[in-house]
Amino acid sequence: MSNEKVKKILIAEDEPDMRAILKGMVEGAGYSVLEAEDGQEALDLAIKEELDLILLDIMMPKLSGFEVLEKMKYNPKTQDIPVIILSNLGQEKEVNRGKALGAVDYLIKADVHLTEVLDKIDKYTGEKKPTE
Amino acid sequence: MLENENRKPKKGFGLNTKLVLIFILLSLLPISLVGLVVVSKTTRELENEAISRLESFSRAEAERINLVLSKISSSSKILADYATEFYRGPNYFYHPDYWSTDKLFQCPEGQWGNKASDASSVIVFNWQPLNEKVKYELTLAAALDFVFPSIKQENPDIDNLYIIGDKYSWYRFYPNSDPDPEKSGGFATDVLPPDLNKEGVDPVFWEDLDETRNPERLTKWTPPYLDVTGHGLMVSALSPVYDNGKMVALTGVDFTLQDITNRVLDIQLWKTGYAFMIDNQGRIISSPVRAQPDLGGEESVEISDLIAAAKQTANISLVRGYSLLDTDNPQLLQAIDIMTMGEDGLKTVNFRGIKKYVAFSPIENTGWSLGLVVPVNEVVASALTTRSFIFIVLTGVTFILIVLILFSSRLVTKPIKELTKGAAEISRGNLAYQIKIKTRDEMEQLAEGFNEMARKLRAYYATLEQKVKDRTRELALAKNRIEEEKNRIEAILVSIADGVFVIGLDKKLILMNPSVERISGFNQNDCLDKVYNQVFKFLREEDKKENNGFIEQALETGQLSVMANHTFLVRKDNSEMPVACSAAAIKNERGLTIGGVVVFRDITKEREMDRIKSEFVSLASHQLRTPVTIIKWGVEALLKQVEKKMNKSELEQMERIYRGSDRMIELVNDLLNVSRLESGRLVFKKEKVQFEELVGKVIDEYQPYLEKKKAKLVFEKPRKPLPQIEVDPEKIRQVIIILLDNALKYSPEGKEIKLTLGEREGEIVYSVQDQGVGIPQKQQEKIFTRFFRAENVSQKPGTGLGLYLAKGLVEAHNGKIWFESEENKGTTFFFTLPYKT
Repeated sequence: MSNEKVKKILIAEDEPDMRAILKGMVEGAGYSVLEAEDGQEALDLAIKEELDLILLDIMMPKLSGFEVLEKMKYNPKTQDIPVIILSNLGQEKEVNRGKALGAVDYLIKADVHLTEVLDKIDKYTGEKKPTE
Repeated sequence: MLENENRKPKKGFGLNTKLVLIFILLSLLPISLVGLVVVSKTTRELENEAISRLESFSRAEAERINLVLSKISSSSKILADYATEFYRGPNYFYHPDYWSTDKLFQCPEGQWGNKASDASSVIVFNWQPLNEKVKYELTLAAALDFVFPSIKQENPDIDNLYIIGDKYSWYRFYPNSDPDPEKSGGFATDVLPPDLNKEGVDPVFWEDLDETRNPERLTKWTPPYLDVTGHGLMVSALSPVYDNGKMVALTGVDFTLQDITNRVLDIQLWKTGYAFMIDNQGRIISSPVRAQPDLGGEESVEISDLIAAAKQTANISLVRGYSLLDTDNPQLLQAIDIMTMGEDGLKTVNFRGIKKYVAFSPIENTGWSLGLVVPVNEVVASALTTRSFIFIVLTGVTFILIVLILFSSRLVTKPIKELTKGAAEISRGNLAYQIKIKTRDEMEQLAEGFNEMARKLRAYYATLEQKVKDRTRELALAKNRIEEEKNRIEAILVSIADGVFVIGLDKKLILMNPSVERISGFNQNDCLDKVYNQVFKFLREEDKKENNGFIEQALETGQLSVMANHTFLVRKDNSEMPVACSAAAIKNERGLTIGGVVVFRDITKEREMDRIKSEFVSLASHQLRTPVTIIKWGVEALLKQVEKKMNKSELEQMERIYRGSDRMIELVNDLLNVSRLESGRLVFKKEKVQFEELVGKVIDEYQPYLEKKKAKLVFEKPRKPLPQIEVDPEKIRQVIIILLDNALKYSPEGKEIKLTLGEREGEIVYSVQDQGVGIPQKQQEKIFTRFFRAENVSQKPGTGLGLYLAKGLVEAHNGKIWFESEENKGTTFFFTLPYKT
């Protein structure tokens, strides 16, 4: 770990089991993790906290991941936070929509290993080089 | 009806009438001319004609008599010529022993006869003595004995031939008519009895012929006389015999007038007409009994009586005692005068109150004259009768002719009428009609020709009728079929839920089904006969611009043109409705486009269904994936934490869970892809791609899997760069991966996999060759079907959807996919992508 301040990652995931696994993995990799159970909470945290990255699910109560992204886009405080969409919706139009709303990456949960998720987090937080 | 009236010939003369008219004209013209000539003659003319006929008849009759007489007179002349010769050369003919006494004999009447040795003639003398001169002359006469028979033989009309010498002192005569059969037929020499000599014969008889009276030495006729031989009235033709310029004898030829007088007696003229003949002194030579009242001679006697009397008295003047010159009829006398002068002519003589014509003609060289006597009224009446007769005959002939003409023209026209009738019957369609003409001529042939024509026509019509029946039936069947076909098509059109309309080459609407109205709101009145794009407006979904291209394309190319989606139809109420539509050209039998048919379907509901289905699939896949992901990630996290504390069997167990979750994810993914492919919701984002680069990238990505399986991949790049292709790279990547996965999955470890890129005929060919288990021959044909897995790979994990998906994706790019495989040796999959479309 570097001397730099621990990076703060928000995991927006309504499924508790999945959130727990992710939290364990991301914390295990040395990140500080914030959790949100729904879209509204995620948006609130993104505004309140100084986040380094958000792992954003799409299908969530209150606000969907797309709505969260949309709202973040219009808030200067949040519009620069890198968002990786991590969802099991993987159809092209969804992928395209996510990317159009400013997500840096779109990962389909079922198709990726956890390590791949960590690699992406490292990549977009600048914590580690993927080649490392 | 009109036609029949027109066909009727114009009213006119029938053929029969025409023929009759022509015949009558032809035949009656000469008849009527003759009739005219006959009738136009006056009675006077007719009378003159009859008179001239009478005259010419008299002349002809006289000439005929003359002909007979002239033959006789020429015989006399010939005899005289012979005698003259004998007188000129007596030595030659003189036989000195002619008068020897032993040849003389005494006749019973005291006459002397001589029997000549060279001629059976008898010379009779009744006076004494026989002087030398007479002896000499008689010898000469006897020399003529051989001439007499030949002349008589030549002219059988001759009765006797004789020569008289010395002024009737002697004569020699042939044939002898002596009753003694021994002497009969021989020659007789006699001295004429003095009475005959002087009185019986005209005193001028000898003298008329001598050198002073007859210097021309002509033959002359005696007046008729009664012959002692009993032959009745006779005449003689006498010719002089000269010696030293002096008449010394005369020759004579006797001729019985019986034939001539009979001939004259036989002449019948009109009813009571007759002929008579007189000599130059008016004495009657011949006249019939009926002439007696006219010519007198009441005292006339039978010839036989006269002969008897003449023989008794030897007076011939009894016979010729009456001369017509003595008649008391002055008019007759006038005529007789002219007749005796030897001239011809005609006189009208009143015989006891009856006027008669007397026509007369002289008979040459005789001084005789022939007269014809006919009552005037008989001649005129006969002429009138003749005229009437001609008239009647002409009338009769005309009548007969007309009858004949009528009959014969009917003969000609009857078959023509029959023919006309037959032709009419035949033309009316009565082909069974047979024309009955038995004229054995051209008409019959013509009729037979008609009959033959009718028979042939009949036969032809019979077959024609059958043909027409057949054709009609065929036509009816065809019509029924067409009707059925039409009904079927109409039923199909009506029952079809899609809107269907048909346009012609002019792009006007011809036909539409009820669904058109239901879907679009436009009814038939709105549509028919209008150019289709004035009614129906198809819009492109993206930009809502008018898009009738698919119809134009179908008409131009003749191909089916389909717009499955993304098209809106503007309805009558201006609302827009999503439709699926297609257009196809209608072609005629020669393959030329004659119109088009456009079909469209309201897909509003389909779209709704699609949307719902899409949401369902998304949701379902999401819901399925979430728990699997938890398992997968859970195992992954667990392994990371406790891997080192686990024994081998525990690790294997964990790995099995992990692989299971992986397979489930793979299955879900494949299902999702298939579902999207099948529903046509896969969106292809095509871009220009250098294919070898795309393949290279995929290989790079795939490298870890290869290494894991220790497989060796050989990639044969083409020598020169391939043409760029326009594809959705993500989809093609998917195909390449599916094929690579399969090759890897079904190959033993460490075997080579060979990728080849090539190019042919406008397309790029990609192939991947493995040395794996291969596909069983029997199952090769099912390899691209959904969920199919070959028997020999059932132990390996797989969904049976990969090749199905690959095929769908390749075909979505207008490419083809296929394989070559041999079990346990390997399989090569190929696919092509066109670089020109």
